[in-house]
Amino acid sequence: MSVNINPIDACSLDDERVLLLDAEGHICEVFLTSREVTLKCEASVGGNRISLSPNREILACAGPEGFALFKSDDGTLLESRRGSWSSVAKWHDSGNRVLFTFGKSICVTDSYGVPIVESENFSSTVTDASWIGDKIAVAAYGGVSVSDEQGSKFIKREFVGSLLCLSASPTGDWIVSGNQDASLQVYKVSDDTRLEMQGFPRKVTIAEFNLDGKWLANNGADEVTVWSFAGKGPKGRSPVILPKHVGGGTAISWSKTDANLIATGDSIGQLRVWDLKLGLEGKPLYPRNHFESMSNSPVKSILWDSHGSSIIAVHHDGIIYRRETS
Amino acid sequence: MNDSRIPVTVLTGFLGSGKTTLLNRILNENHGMRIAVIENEFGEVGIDDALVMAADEEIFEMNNGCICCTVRGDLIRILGNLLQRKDKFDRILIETTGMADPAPVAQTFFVDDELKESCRLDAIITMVDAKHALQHLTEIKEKNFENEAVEQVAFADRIVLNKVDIATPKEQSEVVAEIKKINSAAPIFTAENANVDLKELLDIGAFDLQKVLDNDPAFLIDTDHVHDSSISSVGIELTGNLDIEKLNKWLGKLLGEKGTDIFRSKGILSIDGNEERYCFHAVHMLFSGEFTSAWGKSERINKMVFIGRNLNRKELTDGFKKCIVSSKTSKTLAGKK
Repeated sequence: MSVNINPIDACSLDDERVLLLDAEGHICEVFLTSREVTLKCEASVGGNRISLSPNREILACAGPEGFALFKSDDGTLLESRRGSWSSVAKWHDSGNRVLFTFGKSICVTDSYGVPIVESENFSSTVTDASWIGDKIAVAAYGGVSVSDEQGSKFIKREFVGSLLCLSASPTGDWIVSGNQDASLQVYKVSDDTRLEMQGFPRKVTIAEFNLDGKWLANNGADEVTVWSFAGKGPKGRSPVILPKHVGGGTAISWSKTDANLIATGDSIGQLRVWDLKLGLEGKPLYPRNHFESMSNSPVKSILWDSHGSSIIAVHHDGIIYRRETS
Repeated sequence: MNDSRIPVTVLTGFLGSGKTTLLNRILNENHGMRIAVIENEFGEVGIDDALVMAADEEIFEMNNGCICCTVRGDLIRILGNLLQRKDKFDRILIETTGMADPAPVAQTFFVDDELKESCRLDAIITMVDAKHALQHLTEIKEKNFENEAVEQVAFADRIVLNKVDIATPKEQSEVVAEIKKINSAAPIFTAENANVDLKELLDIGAFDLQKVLDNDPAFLIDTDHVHDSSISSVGIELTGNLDIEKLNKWLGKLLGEKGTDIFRSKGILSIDGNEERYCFHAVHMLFSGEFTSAWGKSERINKMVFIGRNLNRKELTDGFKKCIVSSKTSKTLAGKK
């Protein structure tokens, strides 16, 4: 099916309904079976990212001009803050607070937008941030900073470069940043260990840990690379290669039910699912599912259903479809 | 071949030179184009049909081995969002602050893969106040402090000498002479209230190698240059065919060692054994070059211009001459020089 917006991010309300966000801040609800599409709400802050609270009641939206919170059932605006670039909206596992980036700072609010934590300014605009348990990891030019459990005091791990994305392992052991200089920087949380993976042909804009923290996948090349973080981590190990994407992975999504399954999409609309159980270090992996492309527009988001048996692909031209993976 | 990428014009100029006036003129002109404007502060321009986004000039050093390579992180973010919008734009204008160094803006379009694929840097336009610019251009800064006004002129592909109505002919000629000392390659257009013909400023293709070729005569303008520490331009025009390996080695070494001081360089070159013109341009150390149209029956003349600080004409000319192959070993067909 097709919608009349150009989605840049998406999240699942349930296995039948998807919320789509475009760069202007329009948020649409799509019913996959009936193919009904409704405009849920419009974020006046524009659109970069959306995230649904774990109880699926509150929708958090980050945009070029700030962030906003909406009720997910009727799209009522609960709170918004304007005035600075925001590119992150991430809910804490408890569902009672959400982390936003806001210009050079981060802001944690409750579900109604009431501020709980507001950091001081970092060295530049915060490009990504993530929860590590109750701590917060922040990426801004010049390094990664990790807070205490109150989210108030930050300790910086320096790296001279422009950081674009950040992922913290669910185990809390590792933080990884993808960078403008086409590298991955890996920071061990417990000590000063830092590893660097260089040589990608393009900047790294996506780096994502899987659900048990033993794999990390990133873009930066035509192939997606997957690093093993099992045991002592990736040092001395070669990545598993997910080959033959074009223009780099534009969407990387780990299954929420099987730690070894990953779905990837690229800039010409190709969509694949891979099983890492079959992967060998340093070797290209053969895809478990290689779907016929329904659109040659970039895949912007891939959503797994709650059972792990299907994925929903969201293309930038508004084409959306579900594919069985099992 | 049509280039479907969105053209980006960078508008620089010292405080009070008329950048916002020109921006408003461009937006108000009846051209039917959808224009997105990235400016320093909201509210300076206000046009219903234009999308205005504020930038905060975050300049990042790159960790890519190029010591003078910087990018504008804010532009990468803002353009990344703009390019994904349903309402497509025909053109993007980036207004810089009066004190801005244009290099990070230009380098952003060399360095960032996504921007390279979606946008093409069309030109850097520098506004100059005909009445007051001379004092800025000739101001001696303390050691380690840049003269931003001079750098903005040095980087320009086009210069608009604005407010000529309030400047005397003597003031105008003095400022033009000073501009030409700094950047002899950029055409100068005079204007009152920024009323320059927009055809001279938009779709110039100053970073388009084919159009560099069309604008070839600009390279011929040269001025007497005395080697000193000021910013100036050196034009080189030589017949003969170049050894591509020697040329790459020389340019690589030159830009590697002196890229911090060489702001812009452009060239149309005759490569030995090749029928096409080789066009290149560089911003500091970042270099882009390709073979373009065939020489055909036209005379094969190498033309290069360097704009920067501490330029040594003799050294540059000698280095360039060493890349020319002798007529005895040339693979280029006789009769085509």
